[in-house]
Amino acid sequence: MIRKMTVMLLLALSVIGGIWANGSNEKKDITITMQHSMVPPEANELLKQFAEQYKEETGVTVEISYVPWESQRATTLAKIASGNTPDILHGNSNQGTAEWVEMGAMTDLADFISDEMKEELIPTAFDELGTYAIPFLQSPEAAIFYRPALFEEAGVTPPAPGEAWTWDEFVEAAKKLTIDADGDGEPEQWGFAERGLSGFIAMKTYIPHLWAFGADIIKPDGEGGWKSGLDEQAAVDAIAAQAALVTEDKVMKPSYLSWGLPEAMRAWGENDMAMFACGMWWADSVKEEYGHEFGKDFDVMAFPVSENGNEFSFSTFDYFTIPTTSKNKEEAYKFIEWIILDPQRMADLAVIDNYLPPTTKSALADPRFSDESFPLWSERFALWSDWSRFMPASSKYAGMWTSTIIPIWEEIVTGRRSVEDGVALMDSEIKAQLGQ
Amino acid sequence: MSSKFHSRGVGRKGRIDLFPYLLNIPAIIVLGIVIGVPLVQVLIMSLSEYSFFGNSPFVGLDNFIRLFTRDRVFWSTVRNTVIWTFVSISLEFTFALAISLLMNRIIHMKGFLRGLVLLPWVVPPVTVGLIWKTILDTDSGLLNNILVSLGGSKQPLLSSPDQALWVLIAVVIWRYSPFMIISLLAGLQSIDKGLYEVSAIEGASPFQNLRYITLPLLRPVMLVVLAQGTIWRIGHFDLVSMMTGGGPAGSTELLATLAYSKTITELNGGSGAAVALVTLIITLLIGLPIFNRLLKERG
Repeated sequence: MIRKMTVMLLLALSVIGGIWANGSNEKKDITITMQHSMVPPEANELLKQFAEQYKEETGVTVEISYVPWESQRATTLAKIASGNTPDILHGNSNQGTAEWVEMGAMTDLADFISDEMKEELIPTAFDELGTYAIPFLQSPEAAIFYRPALFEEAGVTPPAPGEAWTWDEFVEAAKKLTIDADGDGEPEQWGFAERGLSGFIAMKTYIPHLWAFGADIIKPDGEGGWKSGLDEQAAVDAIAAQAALVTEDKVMKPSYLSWGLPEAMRAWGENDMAMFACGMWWADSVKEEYGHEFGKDFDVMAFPVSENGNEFSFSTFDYFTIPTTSKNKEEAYKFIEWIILDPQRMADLAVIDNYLPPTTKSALADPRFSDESFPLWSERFALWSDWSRFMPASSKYAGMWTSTIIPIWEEIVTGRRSVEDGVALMDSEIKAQLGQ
Repeated sequence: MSSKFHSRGVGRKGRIDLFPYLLNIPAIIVLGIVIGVPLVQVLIMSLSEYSFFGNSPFVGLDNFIRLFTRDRVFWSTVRNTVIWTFVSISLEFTFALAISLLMNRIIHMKGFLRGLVLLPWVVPPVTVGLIWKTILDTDSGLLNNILVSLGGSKQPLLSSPDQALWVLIAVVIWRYSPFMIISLLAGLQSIDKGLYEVSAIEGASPFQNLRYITLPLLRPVMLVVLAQGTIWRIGHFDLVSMMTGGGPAGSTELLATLAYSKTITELNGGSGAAVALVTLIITLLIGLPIFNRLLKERG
């Protein structure tokens, strides 16, 4: 009898032991998934290296997947709709992530964010999406790239670092830089260019124009909601000024409406334009494609401002978010913190992704982000850091741009509609969409 | 010895034989899963204020009513789609028929020429979009350079709301006509050569051959390629999305790109689904009579 009981006891103990051991293994076998859209292939490799290091240190597996920016929004929406989102999502407000936050698809990380993280991040870090996202790169979208040699030939002096032209100064300079040497009415060199191509990406082109005049398509109504911003004279002035660059001042290529990045890159290489509005991330592409050196062959300045002197310009963050459907929120946040709080990892990531400034103070102190390794870095950084302004966190903002503003704006630029009619139509459409 | 199974599912004594129907069940199940389920989902979406995340309240026909009565771009998009479909298919069909008739007479290098004709068809749409965007670039594109060298002036092409749709029609014809050419050529080659020999003896002219032999016997193939081409063209997305994104000023917005932009860009899934359903209904209204006629002609 005792023998039987002993055997039973041993059996029970081994079963319990087995279950316990199995439970321990399960804890070690945690896998989290991360979806990113960083363009350089080296960034994908670097993130995979991070994942390997993290696995060695913690035993947690991180699966890295890449989705290109062009399909990031559609892919992520499909994943959100099916409840099959990754645990960590790399986003940028260009992709309308504010909408996902308002939809309830992203986790409020307020309870996760440590004091150390709060201290490390730059003061504007939570300006865009509150505590729903942890920014890791700053991405100014409205820099003006220019060719110092062409400026010198035309006798134009660029604004000093940290300053910006007024709109009138900008137009005057663009006129001097527009050169039609053979007098055939078709300039060989345009003073200014930007990219159009209808759709989501075109927002980047038009937002800075509105903001430069202190206008926007929607503004806070003071009661927690939004109202149309297009019934203000500033909106009419902004759109009229942009359209005039093509129709009256004739300093901008009308063909920008069919332009994407490849066309812009080609025009840059053919010395077809003296100034080009684009995100700072473009700098590295120019260097890689044409060997042009920053601060020597080309430079950047801030977007011009109206007489009202609105000193800001369109900027975004690259950030990590954790979807509400993640089953490993805590582990996901730990991995984010593991990357962001390490100055070396953050600086590595920022250098690989076109030298965009990292968002942590310790990474910004890395010698790679200094004038020695990157000419005039501190002036430029001061410029875009101080002048950054982010998209309003309204779920309708991005949709309003693509469905209403851009098509009507294009009608104005192509002379199909007057500025006043166009802005009035935009205003009535926006009010209808806001239910006003 | 009589067969156990009879055609059209009717048994020897007039009873319905279920076996042929049973054989169709797997195909019906697969179609039900890959077409039926998404279709029902789109229908449900179109009747709701669809949210990708959270509740999607039922709104009845509101999305359709809003689309037909208050949506600023919907009717201009329908107009664009009608022009796009009928102009491109008419031109493509005429071009393909002419080329296939010519190729049918070629004796030497048949294989090489057919391969050459198929080239645009095998290039991926994204690559086609990039190639043509480069060729059509207003400032440095090949087409404008040729125009200027011939004494003409540069044309805005894809930058112009007046030209962009027509330029896209030309590109889509270039991309998709090879399929039509090869289909028509296959139809031409299945026509009995003896008929032409008899008509030659009777002294028929080439035009009479075309009018009374070639076109009537090619009719079933022509109907198929026209129906298929029209259906594909109404729902076309890739080239337009790649080359213009529906712009400038909405001049190249088609029903398929509108459905995408409403759903993905505006996050208005209900409205996007309504556009998709309208597209489907238009497609069925055009496609079903043609296929119905084809089936009747085949007895």
